[in-house]
Amino acid sequence: MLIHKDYDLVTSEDSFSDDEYLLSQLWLLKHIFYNEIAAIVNTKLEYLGISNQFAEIFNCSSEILGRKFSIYNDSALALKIEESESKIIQEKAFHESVYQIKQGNEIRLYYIRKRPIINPVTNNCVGIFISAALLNLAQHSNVIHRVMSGRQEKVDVIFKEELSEEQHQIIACLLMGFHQRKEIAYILQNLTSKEYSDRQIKYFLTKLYQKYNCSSITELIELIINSSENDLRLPALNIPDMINSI
Amino acid sequence: MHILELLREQIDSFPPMTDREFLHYIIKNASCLFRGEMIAIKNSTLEYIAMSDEYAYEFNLDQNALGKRIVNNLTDIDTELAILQQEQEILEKYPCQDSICFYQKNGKTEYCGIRKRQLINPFNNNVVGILIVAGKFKPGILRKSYLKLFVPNKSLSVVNKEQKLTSSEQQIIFALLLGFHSRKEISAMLSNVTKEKINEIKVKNGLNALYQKFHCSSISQLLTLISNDMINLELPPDVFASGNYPIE
Repeated sequence: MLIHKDYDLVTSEDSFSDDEYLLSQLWLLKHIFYNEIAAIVNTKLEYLGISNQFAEIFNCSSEILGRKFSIYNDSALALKIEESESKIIQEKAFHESVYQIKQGNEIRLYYIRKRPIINPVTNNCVGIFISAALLNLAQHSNVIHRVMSGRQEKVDVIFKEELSEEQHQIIACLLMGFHQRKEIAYILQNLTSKEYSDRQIKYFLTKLYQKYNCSSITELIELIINSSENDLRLPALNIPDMINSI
Repeated sequence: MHILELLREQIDSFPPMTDREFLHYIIKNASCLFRGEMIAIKNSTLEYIAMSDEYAYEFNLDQNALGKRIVNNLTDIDTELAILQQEQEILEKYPCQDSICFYQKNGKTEYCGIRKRQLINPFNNNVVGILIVAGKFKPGILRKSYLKLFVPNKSLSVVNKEQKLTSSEQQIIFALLLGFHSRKEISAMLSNVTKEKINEIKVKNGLNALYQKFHCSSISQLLTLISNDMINLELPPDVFASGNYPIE
């Protein structure tokens, strides 16, 4: 770490016990990461602190404090999550994953990064710092398209028409980068357990072109990513909650 | 914020800190929490006061950058001034801002995701600086996750990963990974970013060459191979204009 001499102070508090170090990280959680999706667990994987956004997204509150997720939420997924967290503590290495969670009738994707909290004095891992970010399909595509097309300013396009469930599904596939009718059909079959043919996808796409007054996937995506409808719903249907390591 | 009651009392009894002590405290703790990652801290006048070795290495910086607002490294002066303007807005308005930053390094275009957070001393509510955390990401990493989530059983053909790609093939693959799939789109995008005339026929030829090299017959198959690390990809230089693009 390169530190400016004016800020490279040596204080009597530079020697932390493991408990004191964990407390200092909780203090950071409260004062620096308070408006993000963040949490801290100790080495027993018990939650010591969670931000309001974390509580909202993972549908938990103060009752989870001092408890493990699997005690709070008895599921195979919770056990899988704890297994990977135990590994982080043992190996002192960070872990990245995409977490797919059902919220109402929708699926939301979160990018999650878990960092081991290592006391520099003892070199012990004293817990895990968990942070998450919502993967917003339209937002991600918008930035890329704006940058690449050389168009710096965002143009707001407002659609008043409601999209059907299938139209939502198809648009979500397009924004995830799946543009071919064959692959869209394949994904929708996975999502819905219904049979979809290329011809049906072609029909749905034609309807979308009519609705948005355009004639190609390129134009459709351009319109969608500039719409005020910031994110699109991924219908939950038969997709279970799951976590995938990156 | 929900914090275990017993610990909350201890946290709330932390002794007050001056702004300088607070920044020192953040430097010390952030350097451990983000160990091995690219982080930097700027003060309220947007001078670098600390940076991790990884950050310094990635952005070609050293000890001499400390105490400076303009570091004149991987971007031009106009881009640096634009970034300073964005950071001034973070100090004044935004608790947290995400962005994608593009830069040129060693003859290649690099890019990373950056999160910048306001640093507020809770003892006097002064905004005393910015914490910058950057992470490199590969184009197509999201697609890879989506494939795992939604198309879990898709089988892959075995390809020779060592195949050499020409510069225009790399550009085409990069365009595909960014979500540009039609030849018209790819040619327009590449013409824009390379300032050369790249027509649809050239893109078609490039795609055909890629299909032959990797024994596949569609963009979909090609992207699946790339997403599964079956094809090496290095970005050509100047494929992006350098700059920091906030995600609103």
